[in-house]
Amino acid sequence: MDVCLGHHPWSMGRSQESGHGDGPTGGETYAGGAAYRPERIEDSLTRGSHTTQWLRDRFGEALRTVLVYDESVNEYTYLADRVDDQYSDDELDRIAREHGFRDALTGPHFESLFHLGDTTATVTRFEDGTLVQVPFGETTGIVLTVESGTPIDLNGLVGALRTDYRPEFVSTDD
Amino acid sequence: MGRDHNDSRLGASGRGTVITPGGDDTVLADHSNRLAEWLYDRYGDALRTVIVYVDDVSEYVYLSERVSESYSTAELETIAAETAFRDALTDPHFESLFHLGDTTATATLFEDATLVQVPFDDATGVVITVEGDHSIELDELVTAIRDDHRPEFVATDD
Repeated sequence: MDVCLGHHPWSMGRSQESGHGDGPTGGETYAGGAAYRPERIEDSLTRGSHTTQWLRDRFGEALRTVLVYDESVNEYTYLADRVDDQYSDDELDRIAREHGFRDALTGPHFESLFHLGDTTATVTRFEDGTLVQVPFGETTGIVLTVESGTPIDLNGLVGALRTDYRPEFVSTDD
Repeated sequence: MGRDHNDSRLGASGRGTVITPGGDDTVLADHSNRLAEWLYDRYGDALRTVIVYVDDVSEYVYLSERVSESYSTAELETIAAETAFRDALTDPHFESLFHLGDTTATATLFEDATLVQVPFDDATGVVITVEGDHSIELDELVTAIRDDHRPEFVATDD
């Protein structure tokens, strides 16, 4: 599986000059997949999707990371400076690869237990940050983290991501 | 806290004791009334269930009518006894992956309802479900529950 660390215009930090630039670069192959950071927005999974910008507008500086994935690629489309400083490239890589962890653990089990329909999002609130994962289908989704203490209207956020701000790489009938 | 359950209890699922409303052997509800009332004031009829647990005892301190109509007693029991709630809250792998501190809550959004789990410590916590069309402001909810609306059986200095 690929892991991309985006260099989008709104991806503040993560610059070439940041000194952390020695990690995975375009196309480098890892055991278990290739870690990939698109240098050009056209190479990005989101292909200029408005989703990331919308999240940045919504959460401002409280937005820590945005990660989108499909069956073969995990890509950071936003990485705040302080997150970049806080984690090594290896850690960012590992986190990107494990986005599905909670879903795999509890998703199908919970769905059959409650019969309340499909899971539309899972959220883990830590002391220092909140992780929101919104799956679009079996293999596609978006994961974002925000600082703790940030107001999160869960249903509004998830509803918007699944409809109006759904990344364009995801087919709408997923 | 009394643990002298009598035979009228619903439970003994093998994973702990589950107490559903209406019995006369409530253990935790008496200590959780303010929490349940506060949640009902907040969510009104959109509030579906409130489960409080201590160790291996899980108790429904609120159960809306439509929920009790749409699940069998056995299902309610299975849900309350569900240990995956706590597994998800205390997953050491996830915490070590992110090192963002302890897990203070998890939420699962289903199409028809939202489930929020808030631990107070390793052994105690509350599980809430709210109708899916009712929005949850997670940070505020969790902060209020942990700081201001802890059931009285939970030590405040945890």
